[in-house]
Amino acid sequence: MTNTAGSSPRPGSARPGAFTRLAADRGATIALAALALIVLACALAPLYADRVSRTDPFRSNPNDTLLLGGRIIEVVQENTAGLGLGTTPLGPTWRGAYLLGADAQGRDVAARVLYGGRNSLLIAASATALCLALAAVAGLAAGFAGGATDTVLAWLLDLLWAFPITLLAISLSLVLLSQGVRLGPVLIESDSLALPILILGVIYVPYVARPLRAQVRALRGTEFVLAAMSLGAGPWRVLGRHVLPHVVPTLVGFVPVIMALALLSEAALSVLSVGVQAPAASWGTLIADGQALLYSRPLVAIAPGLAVVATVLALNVLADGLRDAMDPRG
Amino acid sequence: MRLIAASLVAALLLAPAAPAADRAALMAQHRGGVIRLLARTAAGSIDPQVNYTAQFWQVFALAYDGLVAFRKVAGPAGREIVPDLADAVPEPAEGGLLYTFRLRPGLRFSDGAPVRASDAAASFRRMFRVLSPTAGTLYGAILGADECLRAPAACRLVGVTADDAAGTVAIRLNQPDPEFAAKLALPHASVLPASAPARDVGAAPLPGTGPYVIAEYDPGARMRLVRNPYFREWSEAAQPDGYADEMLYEFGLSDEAQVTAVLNGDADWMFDTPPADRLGELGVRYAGQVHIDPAYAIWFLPMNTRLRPFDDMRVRRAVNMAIDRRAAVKLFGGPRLAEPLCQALPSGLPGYEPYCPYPHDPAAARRLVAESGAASARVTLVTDDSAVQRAIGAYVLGVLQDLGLDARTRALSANLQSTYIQNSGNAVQISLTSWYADYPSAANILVPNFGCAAIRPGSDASTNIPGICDPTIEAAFQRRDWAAADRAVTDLAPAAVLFAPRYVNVVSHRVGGFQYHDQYRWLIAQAWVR
Repeated sequence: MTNTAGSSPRPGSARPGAFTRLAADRGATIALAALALIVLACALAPLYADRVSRTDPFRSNPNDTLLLGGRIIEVVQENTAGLGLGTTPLGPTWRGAYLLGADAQGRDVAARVLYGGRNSLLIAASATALCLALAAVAGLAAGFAGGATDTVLAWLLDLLWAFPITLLAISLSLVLLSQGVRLGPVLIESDSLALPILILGVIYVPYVARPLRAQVRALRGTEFVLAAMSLGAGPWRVLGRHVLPHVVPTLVGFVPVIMALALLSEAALSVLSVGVQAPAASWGTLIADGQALLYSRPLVAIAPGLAVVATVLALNVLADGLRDAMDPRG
Repeated sequence: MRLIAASLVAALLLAPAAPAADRAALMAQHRGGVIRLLARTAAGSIDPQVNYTAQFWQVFALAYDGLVAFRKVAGPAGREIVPDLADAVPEPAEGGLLYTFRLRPGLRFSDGAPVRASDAAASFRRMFRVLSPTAGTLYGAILGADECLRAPAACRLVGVTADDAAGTVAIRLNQPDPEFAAKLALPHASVLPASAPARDVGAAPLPGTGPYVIAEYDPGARMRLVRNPYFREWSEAAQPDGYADEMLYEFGLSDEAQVTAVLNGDADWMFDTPPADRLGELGVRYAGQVHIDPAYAIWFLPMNTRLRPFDDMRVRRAVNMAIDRRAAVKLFGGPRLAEPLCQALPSGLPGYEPYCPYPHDPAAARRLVAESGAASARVTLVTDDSAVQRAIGAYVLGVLQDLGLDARTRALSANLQSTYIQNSGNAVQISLTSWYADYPSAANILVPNFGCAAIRPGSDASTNIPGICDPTIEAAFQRRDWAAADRAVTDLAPAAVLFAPRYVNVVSHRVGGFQYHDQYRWLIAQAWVR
């Protein structure tokens, strides 16, 4: 029996069992739990800084002191051996304050990793949302309208795709960081987190919009869509009721993938000083800070680096699990 | 016998500086070899009248000469001005307005052409024609300089005349300049062939008169200096012959890789400061290869005296009192690399008298800001994007916020920041910058940074960044009372001086005879490699 305008076939993600399948996937479950733990830990950063480390992770104070083992020691110590050259920040104490040690400015590395994670995750999540929204609009419009709209949008997406992604991100950052950007009445200042969100949200649009456009084009020729149109349903209704529900699982599947890419790109941009701007911190800026201490205090760079690796790994495993769970042939 | 010979050789190798009597023996022992130098990047043009970087000024001292030079020996004696291409340092005549030099006979450029008085005169004109960065600031007192600065292409510089037959060059000033002889010893006053093009020659070396000649320069890879075949030592004091046959200056390695190369003996010296986290290791394991030398420089926070809230002296003084200079020194690399300073003149310069009316007192500083009514004023601190500037900027940001100011930082590319903060059109309130003296002189620090003449509204070359023009300071300048000028500047607090940095020179175990000169830094030609 042919579907009517009021009842298109149910998309794969919505069919019963998708969530059950995801829950049954041990890898995806562990990844989800790890992600939840990372997000929770980062969300509790102010509590950690206030109650556990009892330091201000954003205040540079190389002359701070700490009572450790009954001795008052400076958080950044002047070297006294030999010629007495240089300074060395405190190493890991493996207790509340300065658990992972201090950076060159005397700031608690553990607290900064948690605070940095808040910004990294916020940027990655927001950039993903922006990317998917833009990609959905572009993919639906190009795939459904066809003709000139499709040609122009496809050309724009190809243009964006033609740039090496990291170079494009760096170029945009360098240009926008000098003055910020004005979007109509809204001015995004150069040190605003909205800037990396905007940049990362835009550069990945072709990666989602192209497959989406292909899917919409295929859907447009399906019997249930043609039936709905022949029964007089308007384009908005067809898009909303019959096309979009089939596209949503694809978009959901892209969430962890784009988020992982955005997280890595944010870190790369920040390491190059064109991402998150001081005094805000992210895992990328923390890695950049730690580069100068790789030889004497490697943990300053390794700790945020491990956080990036763990999060990206969890997102990728989750992406695999989501794809499997929503696969209609699964 | 072998042991005695070895001991003698060892003693010669380890000699920190070669006494004149031993120099011939050392030269016989060590002449030859290649000294390998490293830097992260090249420093641009190798036109000695255009380039304005410490990195290449050191190289120009090997290849070019002026009429006079600083004596090329380590220590205070190195500040003495001695005749170089000229046969004597003349006493200025006509009330300090006229200098007449006579060239030594028999001098030749590295292309074999004789050095004539007209070459020297043409070089002074060329300085203005190529828009030498110090043409106005250091040589503006030469008669006719004003016209040359206005119309460089048509520069005639009437104040400089030459007589080739007599071999004399006369330089007439429009006002006495007690430091004029020192300024003639700088690379921008190098004597070049009169045929040198009146434009920046970029990467094409010009003939010079020094013991070495730049044989190859690729800014992306290397510079090679070889012996000048026409060089004959005419003055050991001004331009002594060098030990090494060749110098190879390679560009492109990171600071980290440079240190490793020098410590492994794959290179002999690095221009850049070693990375912070290698300093401890260098000071302990390689102490014999590390030299810490004065820089005659200041790192400071200029505050725009014409913009709120720093138009109020109480706010400027509050910043000076709130800054913990020891913290800034720590962020720079520790007390061996920098000396805390709250006055404009670093120690070691003429006129330096210790003076610090701003003890570290954050509470009193907050009271001053509250009294001024500037609390909550929005302030942007402009730093460059280098790691050290960012670190110190983050510290200063916290200090400004503690004072009750609504402070933020802005990091600009290091290539842009210096000129950006100088331009009054950019309305920079407070910035972090440094000033390294062109030559060891109090005037060269105080006048460009705090003198009325150095204010050029709307220009990228307005070195008086705070925009201060004060009669007390100017009067002290006129009297050449540098201690009084320093006190007046410090009292008015147009800047918060943080520290005076020092240079760290790391050499390989192959290098012998290391000597540090206040002007030329490491005297590369006076060292040898084993």
